[in-house]
Amino acid sequence: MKELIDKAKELLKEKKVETVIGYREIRGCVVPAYVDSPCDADCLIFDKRCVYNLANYLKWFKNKNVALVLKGCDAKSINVWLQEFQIKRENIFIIGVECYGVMNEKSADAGLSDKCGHCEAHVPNIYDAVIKHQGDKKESVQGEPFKDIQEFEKLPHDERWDFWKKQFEKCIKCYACREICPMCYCKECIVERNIPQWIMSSPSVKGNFEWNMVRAFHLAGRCVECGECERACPVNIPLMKLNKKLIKEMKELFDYSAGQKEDVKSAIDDFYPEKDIKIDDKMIR
Amino acid sequence: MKIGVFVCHCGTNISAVIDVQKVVNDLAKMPGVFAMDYKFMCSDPGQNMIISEIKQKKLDAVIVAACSPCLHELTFRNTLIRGGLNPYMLEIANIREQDSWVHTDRDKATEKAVRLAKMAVAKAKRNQPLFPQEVSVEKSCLVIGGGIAGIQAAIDISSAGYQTVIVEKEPSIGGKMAMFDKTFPTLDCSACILTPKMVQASQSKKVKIYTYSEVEEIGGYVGNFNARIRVKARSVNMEKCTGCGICWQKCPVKVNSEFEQNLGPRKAVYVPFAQAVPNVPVIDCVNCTYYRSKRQNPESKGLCRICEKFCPAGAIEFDQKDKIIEEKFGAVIVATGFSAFDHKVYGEYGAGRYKDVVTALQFERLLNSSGPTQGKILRPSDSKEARTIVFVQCVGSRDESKGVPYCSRVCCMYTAKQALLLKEHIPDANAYVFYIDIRAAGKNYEEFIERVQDEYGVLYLRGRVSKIYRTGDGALLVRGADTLSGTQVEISADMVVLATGLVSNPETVKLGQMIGIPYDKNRFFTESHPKLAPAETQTAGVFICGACQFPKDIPDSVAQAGAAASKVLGLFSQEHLMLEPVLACVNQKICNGCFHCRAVCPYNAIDEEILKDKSVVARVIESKCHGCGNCISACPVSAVDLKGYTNEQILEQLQSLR
Ligand SMILES: Cc1cc2nc3c(=O)[nH]c(=O)nc-3n(C[C@H](O)[C@H](O)[C@H](O)COP(=O)(O)OP(=O)(O)OC[C@H]3O[C@@H](n4cnc5c(N)ncnc54)[C@H](O)[C@@H]3O)c2cc1C
Ligand code: SF4
Ligand code: SF4
Repeated sequence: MKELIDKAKELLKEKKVETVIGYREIRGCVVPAYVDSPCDADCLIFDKRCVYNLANYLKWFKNKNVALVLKGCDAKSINVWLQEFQIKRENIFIIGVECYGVMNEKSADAGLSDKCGHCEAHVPNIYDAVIKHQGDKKESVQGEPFKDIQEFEKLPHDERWDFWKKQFEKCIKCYACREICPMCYCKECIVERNIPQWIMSSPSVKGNFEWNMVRAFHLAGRCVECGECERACPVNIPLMKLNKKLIKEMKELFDYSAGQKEDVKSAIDDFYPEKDIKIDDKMIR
Repeated sequence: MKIGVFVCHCGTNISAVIDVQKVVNDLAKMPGVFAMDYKFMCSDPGQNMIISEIKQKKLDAVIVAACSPCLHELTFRNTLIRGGLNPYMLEIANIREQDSWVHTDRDKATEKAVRLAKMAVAKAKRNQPLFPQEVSVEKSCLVIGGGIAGIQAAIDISSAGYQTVIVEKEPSIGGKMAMFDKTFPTLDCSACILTPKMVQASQSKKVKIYTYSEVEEIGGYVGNFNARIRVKARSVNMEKCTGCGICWQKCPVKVNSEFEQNLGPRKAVYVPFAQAVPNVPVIDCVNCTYYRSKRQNPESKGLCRICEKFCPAGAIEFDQKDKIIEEKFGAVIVATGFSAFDHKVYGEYGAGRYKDVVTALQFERLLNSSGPTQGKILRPSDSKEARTIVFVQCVGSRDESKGVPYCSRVCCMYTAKQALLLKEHIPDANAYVFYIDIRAAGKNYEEFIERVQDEYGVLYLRGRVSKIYRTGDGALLVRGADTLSGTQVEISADMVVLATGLVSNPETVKLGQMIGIPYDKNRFFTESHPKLAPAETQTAGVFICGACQFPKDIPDSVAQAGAAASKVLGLFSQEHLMLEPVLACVNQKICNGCFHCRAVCPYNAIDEEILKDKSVVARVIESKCHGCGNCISACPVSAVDLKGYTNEQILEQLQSLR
């Protein structure tokens, strides 16, 4: 913790950044913290309760100099932002934190969050400084990362349809998933367009399907699996199941995983039929 | 808004399957819609009818339900202009190709026609008048590549009085043709017919030639291209040099000559061949002793400098730098030719290990009286005269497994030519040709092959060569099949000539992406229509000719060069060009500045613009945009729209189907 606080103080003192965005604790809860002056930096913490992906807050700091405390999964979002020209690398200072899992907020037994199960990014793949992990380093669960998706794909069509119908029926179109997603940074979201109106705005089953499908598709090749959407959803729709399906397809069809490097083209920008089209029975079916 | 719907019978092409009257009745029921039918809408009376209805009924937009817009969209746009409407207020409902020609059920086809027409009405309601932009034409043409195709195109354009610039990457223009001894099927001496053209081009006041140069960047659009040309440092002053040749006589450094296909030497200061245009040498910095010593010790004065000492004109300039030239052009012709297939991938032919297994280009040099052997056919390993030669056709042609599925078109002919020339040089030589098929479809080509077989006694064996070995005495043993007699044959040869196929120039991809013209899976440039527009490309103002489009012989290259030149002249005969207004435009209020649009635009038509609030957003450079719509599908927020085909219009069309 001291390392983290010292780094934040140094950055603020030397005016390298205007704000450090990190985590703090208030009345037993961990919340995001904006720290503007070195004397406030003592509140900063990092432990396994630090679930939020703070990259999301960049939406409000686009042209400012800021430092962010980022875990491996969260830091991938920065690569996507850089690929999509949303920020300048020199404007941000990444305080990477080595992480061996955060807790599962939704489950009572307080085990690790689902997303940590197959984590490969204990240390961020992009950073300016790293805060070392203290304590024991428990490796992630090995095995097939897409096992749950493969199982789900095996179900008959009607069963899958019913599953999602039930899930989307619950959606109240609060757009919490969108607000918390660092990749959903559009000035005007497609659901808010009315000329032409692509997506029905009322929370009907059809409109809900439209919204949830569009949200997932807009994340194809961009979702970095920080899991924030699913965590934020007040009606517990398993949104990561949709995201993971697309991640799996991107991996299998285009050998592409989002947010691995800052200097590669994003998947949609780097499509060449000769290289990328692999037709197999699965696609024809 | 008042919309007129004009339904065409197209004789019986449409009315035989579709109940035209019902289409008219159903459409006329729509609010604000007037509908009528006629036998031939595209005829003069048909068009006049549309014009008079536009005027009488004060129509705002017109739907023609007829054939494909590919055929008559232009016709009817002009009809609208004559009727006083903006031409882009026209919509075509294709009820022929997409309906009457492909369906038989009259009721269903009629229903489909009604729907297609209704969709067109839905779209037309949101049509906006569009206005083409007028641009000027820079009347100067850039020709990339100075082979026979490029030279011919430059001569044709310049003789019509327009400025032309040839950019050639080698020290001389001429291309492959400069290497040949004679040309099929007439056996004229290659140099005798090529050199006058090279001289004509270089002496024309309207042709500027940059040799040892490359085009580094091309921007702009039809009528207004900007090119950046790098003229590489020659180390010889072009103005001062008289071409006397003392420098290359005196230069002590000998290396393999590229022009001689590594069969002979050249100096470090050299002209590639005697008739080179311009006849000014270049210094090869890699091998030159002076440059090498300077690289090792930059502080020293540098070694050698013999050429500098002897040059009577004082033309050697070791400190020359590359020159960058920026110029504007109205049109571009790409004539970058071909490369020879690298036969090293054929292990069975020795994979390049046997000196006496030569390529066809090498053999051209051996035949050539100004070549490394002065026209004597001496085998490279021991300079003994070669008396038995086996020619192997289709090496790197028609071979899927080697990535060349196509036929290189000229190898049958040049092999026959080479076998004939061998017999002329050494009348009692033995020539064998292994072939798969003989392709001799050109004027006097078949006769030429017959002559080679009958008069010159060249032995043709139909089959593939399976293996070439070297025997102890230095001869080559060629083992192959003769499928006509069904036997295996073995020939002991002094030399083997591989008819290596014509493959694309390695720079094709880079060049194509830079200029914005497509290439096919074999990496030859793609013409805009295989039959009707063979010298044009998808990009307006850019033309192709010669072997960069596909393997072809000299007559075809010259003919295509003439075609490309005439297209350029057609362009230059106009003072102004009208550019299509169906273009993309960005709604900058909602643009995120993610620039997926820029990444997918094949024409580099998207630029950055910085708004007042400092956010960076996309902007379409209208003169570069082709309206292909790639950006529209890539934009996550639908901030880009295609004028005349907006998202809103498409959605309206779909909704009209409900
Ligand atoms: C062994 C052999 C024998 C042949 N014999 C005959 C024959 O007898 N009769 C016949 O009709 N045809 C013959 N051909 C075919 C003939 O070679 C071609 O038809 C002809 O050369 C095509 O001319 P071109 O100008 O398109 O290409 P090239 O001759 O290849 O010329 C292209 C030119 O462009 C230049 N260039 C390439 N890239 C660039 C670049 N990026 N920037 C600037 N310059 C560039 C090259 O240096 C070259 O000078 C023969 C072919 C071969 C291989
Ligand atoms: S429509 Fe879009 S992608 Fe196509 S040329 Fe225009 S700007 Fe480029
Ligand atoms: S893709 Fe769309 S949002 Fe992104 S920069 Fe282009 S126009 Fe703007």
